[in-house]
Amino acid sequence: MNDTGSISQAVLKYGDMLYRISIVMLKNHADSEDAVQETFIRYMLKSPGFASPDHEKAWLITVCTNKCRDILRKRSRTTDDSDEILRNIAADEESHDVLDALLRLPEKFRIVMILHYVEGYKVTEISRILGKTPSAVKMRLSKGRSLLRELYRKEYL
Amino acid sequence: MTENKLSNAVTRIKMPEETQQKILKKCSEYQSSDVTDNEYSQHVSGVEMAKNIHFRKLSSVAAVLALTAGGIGLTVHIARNSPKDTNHFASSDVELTEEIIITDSIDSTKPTTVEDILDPTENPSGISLFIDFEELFTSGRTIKYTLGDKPMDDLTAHECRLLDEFFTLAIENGELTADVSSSYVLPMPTMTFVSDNGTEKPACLYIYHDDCLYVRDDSGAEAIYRYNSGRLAAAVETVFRNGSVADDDACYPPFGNFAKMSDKPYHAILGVDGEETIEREIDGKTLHHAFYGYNWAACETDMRVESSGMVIRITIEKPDGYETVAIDENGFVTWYLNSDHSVKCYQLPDNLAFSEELYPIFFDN
Repeated sequence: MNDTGSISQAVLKYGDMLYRISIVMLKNHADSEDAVQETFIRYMLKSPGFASPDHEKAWLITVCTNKCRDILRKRSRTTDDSDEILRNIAADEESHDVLDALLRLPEKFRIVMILHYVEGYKVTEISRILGKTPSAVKMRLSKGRSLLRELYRKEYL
Repeated sequence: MTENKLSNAVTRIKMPEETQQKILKKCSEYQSSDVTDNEYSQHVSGVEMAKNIHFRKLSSVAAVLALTAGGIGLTVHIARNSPKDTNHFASSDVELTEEIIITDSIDSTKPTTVEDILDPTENPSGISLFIDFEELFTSGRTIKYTLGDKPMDDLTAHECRLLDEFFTLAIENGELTADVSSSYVLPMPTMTFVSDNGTEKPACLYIYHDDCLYVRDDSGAEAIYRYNSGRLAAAVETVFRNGSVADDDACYPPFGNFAKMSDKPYHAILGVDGEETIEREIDGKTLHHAFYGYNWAACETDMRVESSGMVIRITIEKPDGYETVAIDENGFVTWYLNSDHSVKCYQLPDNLAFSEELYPIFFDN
């Protein structure tokens, strides 16, 4: 079991990242909070020895995305907090618009887009995190990219 | 670039301070109470992934996987003993108890093992099976898949794997997507592949994988059909010719352009996405389709897809007759085929399925 000190450090270091991944996947504050909380609890109780900070980060993301999927599976309808999310971010209009477009994409595209374009993971790394084949990740990135552009151009340009 | 804007935008999302404090407090509580991981797991309610789980989430929409016989008529009878349950799947340990019997209504002596069905050398006709996924997931009953007179328990490991691949689907947000660990073959009407010099030859291999349909002919030339806008009704988005690869950002030709490449009628590939109804005009014919579940290929002439609630009927009209497949709300499926319009279904040998040799673009170098 990890001690409180290391948990605090992990929360400070990875909390924002896991929260935004959850928000993008779940589009719901309360559920995102649950997902991140459960991730850190699992981190505290059952995290393996990490070979490196990158390993630790990838592990947390994997657990968090799995938790998000569990939450998505459990619920058929959920409150979509997209409007509130967009209102709350201290953003310029451009950020608001592209985030709005992102949140409209199907979940499977959102997560790969976030991992690649925001967290900087490569295709093979994303495939390991999500448990998908690299070809699937590439496809989703490609399609997600074109969908995002299409939405963004259609709505905001 | 939109992607740069994306990064800038998303990184503005921060975890609220109170959320952070709540998490730290909860972790501290667990720390002080010395809760073990097992106890925590029991405490956490929800769906945990079980080993070898084949069936996952439910959709409020019925998901129907089509498995139809090529060249022969098959009727799938799904015996139901209880009314539909709208509760979502809550346990990964569900036992599916319903027996699905596939009977060949035309030739009961025809081999119907999965292997036989999918092996093009043994049986060039494919076979498809309709299953109402929502019923399966919500009923909590055991399903026994019987192909012909071979119960599932007697299927070989390979046959089980093939079936597993058919039925391993991830359903997320009401949208059916293929589990990308499974590559399986959709039964497709005969399709024509048009090469660069205009030569037409029948495409002999179809693979569906992660929203893409791959079509390949004997020469190795390939085409990939993707869904347009991530929703229904595919357009030809990327064409691979003789191993060459199109740029991801290429401007994909709209569907009509492909039709112009051939004098033959085009082939429309329809996908499904939850309950969405799509109206699409293709070559002057309007297609209406509301579909629950899976991807279809329709072809040629006039195709009409109608649905009324849970009843889905696809009619393909041809000069010499018509083909109809109907799925009613009880999951009964009837597929009528013209003899010259067989549905083909092929399985790649395992060692070739999505190998780097076949599809180098999809693999990091």
